[in-house]
Amino acid sequence: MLSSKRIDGPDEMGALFTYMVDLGITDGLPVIPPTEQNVQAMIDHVGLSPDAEVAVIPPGRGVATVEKLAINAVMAGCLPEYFPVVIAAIEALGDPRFGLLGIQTTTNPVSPVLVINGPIRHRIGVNCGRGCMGPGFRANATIGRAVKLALLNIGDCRPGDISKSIHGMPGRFTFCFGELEEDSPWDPFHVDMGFRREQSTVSVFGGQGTTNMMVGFTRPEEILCTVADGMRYYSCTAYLRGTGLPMIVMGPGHAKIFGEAGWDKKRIKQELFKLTAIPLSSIPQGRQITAPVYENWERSRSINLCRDAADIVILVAGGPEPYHLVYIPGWAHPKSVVTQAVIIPQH
Amino acid sequence: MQFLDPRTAKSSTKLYAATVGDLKGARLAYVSNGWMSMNKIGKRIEGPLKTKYGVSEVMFYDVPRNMEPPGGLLDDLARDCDAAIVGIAN
Repeated sequence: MLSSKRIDGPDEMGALFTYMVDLGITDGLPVIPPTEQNVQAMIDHVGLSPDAEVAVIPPGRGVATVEKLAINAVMAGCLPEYFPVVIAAIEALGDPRFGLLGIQTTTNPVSPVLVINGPIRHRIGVNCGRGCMGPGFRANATIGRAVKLALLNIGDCRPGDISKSIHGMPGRFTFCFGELEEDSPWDPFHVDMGFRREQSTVSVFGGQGTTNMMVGFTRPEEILCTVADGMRYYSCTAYLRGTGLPMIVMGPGHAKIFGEAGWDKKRIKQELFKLTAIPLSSIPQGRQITAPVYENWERSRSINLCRDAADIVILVAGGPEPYHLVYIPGWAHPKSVVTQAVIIPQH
Repeated sequence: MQFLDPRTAKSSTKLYAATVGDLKGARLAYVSNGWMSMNKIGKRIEGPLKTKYGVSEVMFYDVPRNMEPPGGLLDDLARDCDAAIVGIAN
């Protein structure tokens, strides 16, 4: 028996959408009406109790039950087979290591970025290849959107109100893709995080949007020199704190160049860490509104965008041409990558 | 059309400290994370707190800007102070 309050709205779709917008329960885009039948189908797929608690979502400290998540997943346009990923993502976001309260309320344009690994990618049709960051692919679009709607409706994180993000960011509508594990020369990300390759997982990052890099060079050193040039700007929040988790998403074309040249992810990270250091002497000395971690450092020192080379995240996804790479600047909260196993129903 | 409300009840787990009440004679902590607003106001707040509200002492603490305070600091603070100012709206 579902316990949520029943709301009576207009029958005509356009009027219903307007009614839901006025209630403040959408992201501004049309939603699927979460009827009892739709929501029950979502819950039946996972076989969990509707009142089972998955997480408490800040800042409103709303309880994300299976039923409430199912309602938001229906609204986002999810198919029931996507729902286990939504649940796992919310579980990951509720992990205290992730720092969701800060992400929900900061002036920063940061947003959770979801990366899906393992067999479930193929089972539910998650796009890991060309155009994986959207638009056009239902699993990617609606899983990401379901999570964002849940953060809005369950976490009570109203944009322009308790969400203080100065500009917001398009990735706050949805930001979800899969890793193209099959075309990677390296272990997939979830294996790096301690899971088995045959497990399905979702990882959550705090990302500030996508920065494209056109990298036409064909040797690893030249590619990394170019990538580092795009990452090296001291207005990036990560440099203010020195604790970012920068993410590089390279297509299989670039990954192949590194793989064939014998470069592993560790070596790439070490090289990028070295190349992205910024001499403090190149930064103005005036006071900043928020004191940077380097405020009282010797001017002869350099600053980094993360604490250690290992904090740089390397993923393989996207189309095959070795032209474009994506840099997703990380937020400056430490330890903010959390990977959660997706529990797939056995039926 | 009838649909289900996507909003939810708040967690009943209490995270909030009891309200302070009267500040007269209280020892107050001022916990700064380095934001300019905290630094600027911190320099001026001690006087009014003492003269207007009767605070006996203001103790200043610095915490990291983007991570939890070092181990033991919150325990020290709780032991030594009656209340704490931990944030100021920008």
